[in-house]
Amino acid sequence: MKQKSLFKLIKPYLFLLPVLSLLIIFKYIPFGMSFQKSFYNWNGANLDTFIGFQNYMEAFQDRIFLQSIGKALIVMVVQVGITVSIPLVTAELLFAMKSKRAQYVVRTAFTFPMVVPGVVVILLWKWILGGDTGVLNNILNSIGLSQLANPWLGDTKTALPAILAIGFPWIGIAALGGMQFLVYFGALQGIAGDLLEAAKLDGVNIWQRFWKIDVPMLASQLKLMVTLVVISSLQIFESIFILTKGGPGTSTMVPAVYMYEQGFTYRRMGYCSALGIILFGFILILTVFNNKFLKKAEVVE
Amino acid sequence: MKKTISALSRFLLGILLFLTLMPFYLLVMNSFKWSEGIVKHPFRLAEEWQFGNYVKAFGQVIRPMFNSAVVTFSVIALVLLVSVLAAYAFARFKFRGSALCYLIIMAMLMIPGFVLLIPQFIQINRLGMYNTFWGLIFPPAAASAATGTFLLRTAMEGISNSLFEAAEMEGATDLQILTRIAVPLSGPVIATIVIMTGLNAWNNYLWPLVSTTGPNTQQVTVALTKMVRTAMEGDGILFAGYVIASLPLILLFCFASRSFVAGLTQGAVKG
Repeated sequence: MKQKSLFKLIKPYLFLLPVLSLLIIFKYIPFGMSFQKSFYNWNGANLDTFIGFQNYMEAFQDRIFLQSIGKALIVMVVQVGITVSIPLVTAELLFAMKSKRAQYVVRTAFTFPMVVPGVVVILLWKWILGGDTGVLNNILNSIGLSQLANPWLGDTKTALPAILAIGFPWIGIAALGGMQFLVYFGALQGIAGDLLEAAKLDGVNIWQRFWKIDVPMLASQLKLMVTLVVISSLQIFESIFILTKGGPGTSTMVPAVYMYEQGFTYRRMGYCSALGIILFGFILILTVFNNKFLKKAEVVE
Repeated sequence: MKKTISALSRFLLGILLFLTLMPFYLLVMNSFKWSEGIVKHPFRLAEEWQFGNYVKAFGQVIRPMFNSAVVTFSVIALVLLVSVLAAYAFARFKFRGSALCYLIIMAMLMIPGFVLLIPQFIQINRLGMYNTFWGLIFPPAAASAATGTFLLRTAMEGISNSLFEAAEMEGATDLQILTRIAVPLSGPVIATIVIMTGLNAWNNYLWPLVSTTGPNTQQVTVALTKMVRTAMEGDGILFAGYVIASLPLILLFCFASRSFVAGLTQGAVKG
């Protein structure tokens, strides 16, 4: 009897044991290690000495690292801009279509590129943006604008904009515009038909409806999407790593690529950990600020 | 006036759709060409269809695709297992520290993935999992487990309590209640988690890049960036490889597009 009640007592914890062990072994311990090693001169193997705040001091004087944060901020501004514009407009355009069937077909057509692996999209755009044999330059040459043709990814001035242009108009890219498009469209479908009907009877025009009904009704979705893109844009890695590895020069060097380089190429894993902790703090501050700021904006509405 | 606006919005939508799909049209068309055709006329249909491109690409990507499939299915299974159990505990039992345990599970969603990159790499080395399937499975599963628990908890809490109580009265064990009631009634959410986790696992690039080396464990994303071809054959073979690697998910999408939409948007919770 006693044994049975003891079992009952620990039963919930037994159910939680698998998920907690998974998280502790593969998340909490690594995170603790990351924090600890940010105070060490550490190469992941034999070199392992405590050096206090030296890594942090170095980071704040590391010109390439500071510039990489600037680059990440540019990426952030551009991607936040994308998040609140094209997917929203596309969702509105699709919502305006009368036939439900046509809506379904178009939404599906937009969704299928989202399941194509990100690496494939990046490699595909590598060809489109390429120098000699790139599709974009091919188009420019054939319409008589060959003076504009450019090795887009190989030029320090155009490399970052070219990478940001990948996936244009971004609705087929799951993480940047696609998810937003689907979320906004879902939310528009959720707005009560009565409300739109009443607005129509009151003679509200499309422009007014967009600003007075749709945008306020989508406020929480917009806010969530902005927050997510702020977080993900500061971590941009794959496209840049595959296409330019931060180059040419350091023109596309963003924090995640720089960390990878410091950690895996130069084996400066302690320094890399410190960079990671700094960026984590930075993202945390931006997220909090973002939530506060956007909440205020809502109150003003 | 109304008609003009309607026509204009259809036109705009058409342009957006065209621009979105164009690159994929180019990808498929040029995957059947050799170098010359790709460089000279990327927009045209192939003059000579080089099906050989697919044969050559297939040989390069089939093994990595198999590896990726093993990892993807394992990650899905592991995530489902741990989050079903945890969600069931949160939804069904009142116990000390329940809120704290939930917080412990959710808090790690705040940590950006690349902060953990180096220490996770060290961790799997310590555990002897470098360049093994285990190393490819556990850390990504840990990343998805929290979202899985969150979604399933909400779903299971939505199941009527009287249903659970009735089963209990009949003398059903927790395992029976879990497998006969809680899981079947959470079907749509489970589909969402499967797709969300599956997409992340199949498309993952950074983690396989650092945690593996060599062909035995190579994942398809890494393999695609390392494909080889001769100058004359050109990029067509690469394109064929990209198409082959995208096909499994595209085919699945054709059969379960609704679940995919849910899976793609629920990924939003994952941060």
